[in-house]
Amino acid sequence: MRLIQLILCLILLNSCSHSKYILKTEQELSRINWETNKLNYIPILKSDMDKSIILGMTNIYLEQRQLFKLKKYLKSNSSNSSDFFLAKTIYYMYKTDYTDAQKTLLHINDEKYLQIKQLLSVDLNHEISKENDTHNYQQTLNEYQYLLDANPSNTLLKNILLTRVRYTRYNY
Amino acid sequence: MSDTRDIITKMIKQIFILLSSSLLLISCSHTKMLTRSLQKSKAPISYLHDSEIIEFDKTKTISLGNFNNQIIDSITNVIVTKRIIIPLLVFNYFDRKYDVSLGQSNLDQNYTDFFKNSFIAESHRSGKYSFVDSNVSDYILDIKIDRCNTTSKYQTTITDVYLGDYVMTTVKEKGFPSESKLVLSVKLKSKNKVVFEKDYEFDKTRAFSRLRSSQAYTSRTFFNNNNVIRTFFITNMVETLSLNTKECIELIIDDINKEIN
Repeated sequence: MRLIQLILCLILLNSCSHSKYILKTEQELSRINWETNKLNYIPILKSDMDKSIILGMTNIYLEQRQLFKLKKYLKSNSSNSSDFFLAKTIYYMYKTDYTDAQKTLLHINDEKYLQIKQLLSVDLNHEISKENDTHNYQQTLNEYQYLLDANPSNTLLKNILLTRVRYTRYNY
Repeated sequence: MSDTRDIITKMIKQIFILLSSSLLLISCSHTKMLTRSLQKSKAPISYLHDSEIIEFDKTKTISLGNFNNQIIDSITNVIVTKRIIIPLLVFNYFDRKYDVSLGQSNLDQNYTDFFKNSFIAESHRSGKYSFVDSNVSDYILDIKIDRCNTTSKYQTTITDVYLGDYVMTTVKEKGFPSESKLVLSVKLKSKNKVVFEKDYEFDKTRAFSRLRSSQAYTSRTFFNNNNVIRTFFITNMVETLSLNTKECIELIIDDINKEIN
């Protein structure tokens, strides 16, 4: 019985460590060395994280790689707020369930999450088209380009997008 | 007695010749297979334009004049540079190093078109001029690419261990950093008079590193590791060429901006 529990734990841990997108506050991302970075980050403002209990808890569970607990937490704290839908979208992305993540993303209406919504929308389009073998590098690149040109002064977004393009290039 | 010894010596010689020739044949066929496999991979060359968009009163116009075609080889070349074969009866070891030179066949679009399109896109962003299609412009820009090659090294190691009726084979493949070299000359003319002329040389080296395992492998590719490495190796070469071209275009446009304003 213990062996089965151990195997299940390992599978759960494994599924969590395989996430292609990682949630981080912009404060944490300012310490990243972008020259060597190869990871895809989902940026969120520290103030947004501090204000929203649901996003804060989501971040804690994801840092501890406790997807199962996060699922239970989201189930018991269901609401119609954009914070909840953002947390749920990120949860699905960690689970690599991109179709459900895309459906959930559509429910985020708050203006403050517009940029992150646009970024995740391109990411999810890319992942879903990859799953369906209909991936088009040029189209994904154009969508990231549009996002970059819409926010020309955002250096963090520029670094995030350059990493995203590199990831897309190697997952073509 | 001496007859028996002669027969045994002859047999050993024949076995050795047979073994050596078959190993050489296997070795050659592996090189061909690798060449075909590397030539088959296609990688995207377009890049993200991250330069500052310049809001400028773009009164002056520039059009593209002469631009040479067929800048890079049509197909990727793979040449064996080092070959070590240790043929033993129960253990065979092959170690080969290849020089790989990137060709058009690995790019998802024609390099000349890519260069032109990237130059036009970058001109619209950071050029202090308007880029026009027609030759009725204030300036005409001639670009001559003298050299454009991207090279790298690749290594394969195969070990065969014979265990009775069974053979245990391990294949290891490894990619090395890729180097891109771009040599070109630019002439900016106004009313048939050369107003700016410069030779450029760009070098870029990019390490071949696998992406994080979770990013690199999907369930489909996990069991086909060497194919993934080959695809990544070619992608790394194309990426190096792409980023070298990006830097080259940005610098040319920067120089033109200084010259015409």
